[in-house]
Amino acid sequence: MQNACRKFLILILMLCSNISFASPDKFIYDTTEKVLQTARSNLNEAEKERILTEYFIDVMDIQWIAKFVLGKHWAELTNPEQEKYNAAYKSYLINSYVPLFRRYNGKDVSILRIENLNAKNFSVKTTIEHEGKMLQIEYRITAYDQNYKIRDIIAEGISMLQTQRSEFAAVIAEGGVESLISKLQLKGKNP
Amino acid sequence: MLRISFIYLLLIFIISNSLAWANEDDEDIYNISSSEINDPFEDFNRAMLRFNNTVDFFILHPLALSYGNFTPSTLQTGVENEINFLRQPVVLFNAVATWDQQSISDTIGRILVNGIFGLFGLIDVAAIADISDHQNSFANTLIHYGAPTDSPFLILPIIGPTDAVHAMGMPADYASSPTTHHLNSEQLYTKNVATIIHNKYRYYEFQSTLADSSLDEYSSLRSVYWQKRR
Repeated sequence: MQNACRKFLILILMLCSNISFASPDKFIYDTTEKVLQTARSNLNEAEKERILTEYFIDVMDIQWIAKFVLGKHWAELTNPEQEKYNAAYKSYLINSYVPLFRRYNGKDVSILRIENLNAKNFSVKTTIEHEGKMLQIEYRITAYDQNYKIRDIIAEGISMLQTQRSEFAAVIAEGGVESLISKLQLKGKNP
Repeated sequence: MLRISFIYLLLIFIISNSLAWANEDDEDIYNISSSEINDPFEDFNRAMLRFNNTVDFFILHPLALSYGNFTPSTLQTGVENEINFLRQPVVLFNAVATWDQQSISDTIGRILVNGIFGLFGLIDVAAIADISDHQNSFANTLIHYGAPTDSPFLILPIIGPTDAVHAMGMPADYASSPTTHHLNSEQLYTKNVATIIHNKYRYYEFQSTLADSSLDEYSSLRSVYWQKRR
């Protein structure tokens, strides 16, 4: 009876647990390998773009990033404005980064180090060869249930989040949030 | 027994979920600098960026791409190595000025190894020997002795993004370089032009990507510059 209770308890514990079973480095390794394989494949450019776009949406924490890079201005927006901004930002991010992945023809990624930033967030430091040089790329990822999403990519010390936040602040300072949304929509349509 | 198991289970459920509830935003860990970038000369800098982009478009990028497309990659590597080698005396001078012992020993090592075994700098044998490459300049010396680390951001004609302290250090670096005193004016001109074109080619992809993906190229460039400086 006690044995059965113990087994039942363990089963319920496993079902209720929010701790992810996959490791952060495996997530990054699998992610980059899929991107590299797609970029190097013999598929036509349109098909590569479609696959990479789907994959990009799946692995990037776009909604969180959109809110973060807007900083204090997020709270100033109405709900319809937030939706409009989110949609514009998503198009902008996809059109900015997916073409870069599509053009990549380097070699495989090497995982250097994983660091726990807190209970849910991790830093995975990697190197990747590109045109004969080794590039240092750090991924900041966060755990959601059984999966991870990327929140920041830091290439050779340059953070995507920091750069965008600084840039968006300058655009807002000059023309307000509407100006930012217009520019995002324009960039999202014309990569 | 079942009541105890239920209480235990409830505790485990609450604790495991609290890992998800706590710190949902997690913004603190992203190390985003909240301080504004020191940029009192923004109008001037923006004008300089427009000027530099024009010069790049009509002169430097065509030259750089020609250089990149028609120069074998091994020769490009040799040029990169030579530019770096010729910079080592300036690095050594400033390493001594700040008594940075690690930098002094590494730089002397690089000069000797690359000078003797690397065809006077064309081959970076020191990198194979894992001797670190340092970047000491007169700006680092000024900062060591009290100059601010966040001096005003500047964009200079042709040179590009820098800051006030690094701009002040440039004449000293130029004066302390042996090439300034041992090359004739034609050789010095060739060396400087070759350096500019090589570096333009080296950073062409980055510069193009930044310009294409930015909503405001100037503020992106400024942010990138400060992130690399830190």
